[in-house]
Amino acid sequence: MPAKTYVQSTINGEHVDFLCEPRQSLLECLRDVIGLTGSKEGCNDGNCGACTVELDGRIVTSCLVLGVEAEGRDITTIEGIAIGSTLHPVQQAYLENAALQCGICTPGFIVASKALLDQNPNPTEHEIRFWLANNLCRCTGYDKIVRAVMDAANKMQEAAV
Amino acid sequence: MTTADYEPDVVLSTKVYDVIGSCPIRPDGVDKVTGRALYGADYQAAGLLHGKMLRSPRAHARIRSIDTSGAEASRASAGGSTKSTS
Repeated sequence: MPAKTYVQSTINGEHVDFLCEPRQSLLECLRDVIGLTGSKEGCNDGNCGACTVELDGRIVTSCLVLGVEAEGRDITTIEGIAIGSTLHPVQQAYLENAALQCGICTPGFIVASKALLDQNPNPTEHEIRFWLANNLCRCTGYDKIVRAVMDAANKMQEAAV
Repeated sequence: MTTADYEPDVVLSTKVYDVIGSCPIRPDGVDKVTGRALYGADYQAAGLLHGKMLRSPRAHARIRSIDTSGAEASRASAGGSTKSTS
């Protein structure tokens, strides 16, 4: 058994420290070590985006980040998107626009969508499609997902006024 | 006759439906958008065993014997059995 490394990070606003092997991906650490199984493993090589998390405000595919790289970093996973028991407007919009079916790609899509709206509150359809290009969905298709993000953008802007 | 002029002379149903045409929120939706939904790969049973398949390193080779002693030694601690098929 290789020696494990002690890693301290902030996950969903809480200080989390964990032990991980140097070879383990951040996704493995989140799912198998810390027990946050919301982030999904689809392809494990950065294509599908199901494992997308926010790392210091940037979205990354957590299967391509090493667990040891989380040292001192701030991570937001799908479990940290809802505000207490209230769904984030993006989550609500996915539900209302029927933008999910099996739900494996959904955590990655929602993390990426929220990150988009955080930095661009009023994206065009083109910008949304471009931003979500690294997330694959095999059952719902992309139209409903794009509509959900546009809906969330509108609702968030109305709420901000 | 163009498509726009077409009016069906048979009305199939005038019934008002409760479900057809409605847009319900899926019952498992909240669990799925919050990451709480548990899929097979998210579930770890206590004492879960992991299997591994050993394949021949050569194509079309004739298998004369398989030394399973190493596998059996590791299986013994798990209380299982080792089976080889050729």
